[in-house]
Amino acid sequence: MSTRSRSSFADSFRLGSSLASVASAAERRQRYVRLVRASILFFVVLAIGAYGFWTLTGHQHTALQCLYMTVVTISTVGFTEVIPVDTDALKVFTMGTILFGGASIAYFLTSIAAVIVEGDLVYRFWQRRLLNRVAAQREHVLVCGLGLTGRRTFSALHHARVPVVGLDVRPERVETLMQSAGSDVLFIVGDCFEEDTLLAAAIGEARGLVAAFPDDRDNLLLCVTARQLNPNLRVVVRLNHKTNAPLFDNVASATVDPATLSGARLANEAVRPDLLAFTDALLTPDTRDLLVDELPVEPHAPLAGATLADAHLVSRTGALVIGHRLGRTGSFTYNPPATLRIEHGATLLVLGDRRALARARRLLRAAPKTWLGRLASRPGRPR
Amino acid sequence: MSRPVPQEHVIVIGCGAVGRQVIVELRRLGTRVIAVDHDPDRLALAAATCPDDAELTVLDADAFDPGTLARAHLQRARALVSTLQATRDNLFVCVMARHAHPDIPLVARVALPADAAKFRAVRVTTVEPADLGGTTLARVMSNPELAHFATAVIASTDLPEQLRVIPIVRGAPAAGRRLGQADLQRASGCVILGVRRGARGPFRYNPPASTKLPPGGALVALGSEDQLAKLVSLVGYPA
Repeated sequence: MSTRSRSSFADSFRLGSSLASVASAAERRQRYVRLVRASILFFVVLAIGAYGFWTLTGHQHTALQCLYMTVVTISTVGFTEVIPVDTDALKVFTMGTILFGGASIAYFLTSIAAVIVEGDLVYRFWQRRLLNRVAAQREHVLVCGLGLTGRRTFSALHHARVPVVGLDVRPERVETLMQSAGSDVLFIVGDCFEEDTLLAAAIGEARGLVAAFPDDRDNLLLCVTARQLNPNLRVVVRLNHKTNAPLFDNVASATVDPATLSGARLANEAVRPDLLAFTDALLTPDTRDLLVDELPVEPHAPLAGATLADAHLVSRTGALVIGHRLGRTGSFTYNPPATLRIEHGATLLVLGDRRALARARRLLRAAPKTWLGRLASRPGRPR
Repeated sequence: MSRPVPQEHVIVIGCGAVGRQVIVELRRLGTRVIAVDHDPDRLALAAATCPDDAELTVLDADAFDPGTLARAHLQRARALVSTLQATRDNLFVCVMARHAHPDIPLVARVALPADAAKFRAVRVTTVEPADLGGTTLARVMSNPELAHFATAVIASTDLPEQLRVIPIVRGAPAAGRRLGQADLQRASGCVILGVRRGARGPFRYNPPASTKLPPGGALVALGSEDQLAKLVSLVGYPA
C-alpha cells in the first residue's frame, strides 16, 4: 500500500492541525454554539431585567441604575437596593429576575468552562506552542513516516536524547507514538511530500532526516525533496527492496534494509546467540557507558609517530583501538596490526568508556604540556 | 562459535525475502541448511541465492503438516528458524517443533512487540523486523561508526575480520593467567574486546590487563581467520 494515498480524514487536517477526529471537531463546534447561545441569553435577561425595573418604577431611574439593580439581583450579590422593591408588581418581577437570571448565569459560566476544560483553548495554546517549539529546533532529526519502523526509530532517538521531530499525515499514528514515547514529543501532522511541511519542521536547520516509509518510491521522493531544501542534511533511508539500493547512492547517506538485517539476525540467533548478546550490549546506550568513537590524530600529538604497540593505549588510557583509517573519511580497517604507526591525519576507531576515550583523545590531540604553550598555540590569538 | 563447522543443519521455514537472507547468512557461517516452503517459485529463488551448494537442501512441503518437520530431520537439527509472515503461522510451527523436540533452539520472526511474549512461553527467541529496522535507522543516524562496526563484524561478507566468542578451556596455555601476562593481543594479533566468567552471564567489556582469564569462561575477540585460529590454540585447547 502506498503511503501517498491519504486517509479519509486528510483533507480536514492541515499542517499542525487537530489530532482529534472529525467527530470531535463537530463536538467542538457544538461547544462554541452553546457558548454563543448562552451569552445571547445572558444579555437578553440583563436587557429585560433593566427594562422591567425601568418601566415598573415609572421611568424615574436612569438606565445605568436599572442595569446595576439587575446585575446585583441576578448575581445574588445583594448590595443595597438602589431601587426600593416596594410594589407587589416589582416584588414578583424581582423574584422572576432572580430565578431566570441565576439560571442564565449558570448556563453562561458552564459553557465557558466547557470550552476551556474540554480542551479547546488549552489545545489551541498547546498546538501553537508545539509548532513554535518545532520551528525553534536546531540540529535535530526529522523522522518521516511513523509506522511501526518509524516509531521505533523515533523512540530510539528520543531515548538517546537526540532532538527529534516526527512527521506523518495520519494523526492516529502520532497518537500511537505518544502512547509509547510520552506526550512531550515533537511532531507535525502533515504530508511529508509537501515542502511546507518540511519547512515547518525547520528542515533548513536540521542535522538529519530518516525516511521510514514502507514504499521505496515514497522514500526516494522524500530524499530528493529533502536534499533540495537542505543539501547538508544527513539522510538515512529504510530500504524495502534490496534491489533498489543503487537508486539511493547519490541522494542518501546510508540505507538500512530491515529484511536483510532481520534475516542475518534470525540466522545468528540460531547458531551464535553469544555474539549477538555482545554487540547488543555494545549498542545499547544505557546498559553501561561503553562507546565506540572516532579519534583523529593531530600533528605534534604526544602519540603521533609511535606504533600501536609502543603507544600502549590500553594500559595508559583504558581505551582499546579496534580500527584505523588514513584520512578523515572512508571506511575503517578493523583490528590494525601492532606495528602500525599512528601518523597524524589518520583516524583511530576506539572502544572504551567516556573517561578512557577522553584520556585517549588528549594523547592524540596536539596539546603542548604547559598552559602558557597552550595559550600561545591557540589559533587566532596574538602572542 | 569456536567449534569446527557443525555437522548439524538448521531448518529454515519460509523462503520469502527474510527467509532467503537467513539462508544466505547461515551458508556464510558454514552451516548446513534445509529450507522449507510450499511455493516452488520461492524455493527456486532460495536455491538461486547459493547456486551449486550441496549444503543447501530445499524441501517443497507444507510447513503445517506434522510430517514435514520429520522429513527435514528435526531430531538431528541444530536449530529451527521460522520466517513466515503471520504470527499465528510462526507460532504454530514453533509449538509443533517444540512438541517434537523439547530442547532444540527455536527462532521466530514476529511482526508486533506484543506477540513476543507468546513465543517466550514455548522458549522461542524472537526477532522483530520493524523493531530491528527502526532501531538501526536511529543508530545509523546518531552513531554511524558504532552501527557500522556492529553490523559489519556480524553480517558482512567482504570483511576479513570477524568478531567471535571463544570459550576458555581449562588447561589451555593462557587459561588462568592474567590478560597482561599472557599478552594475547601480541601473541595472536586479535583484539580482545570482552571477557566472561562462566558459561553464561554478561561480558566484561574492554578488560584491564589485570583481568584473569577464567577457565570455563569465554573471550570476545576481533581478528582475521588466522589470528582467531592462533587465539583458539592459546585458550581453546588444553596444552
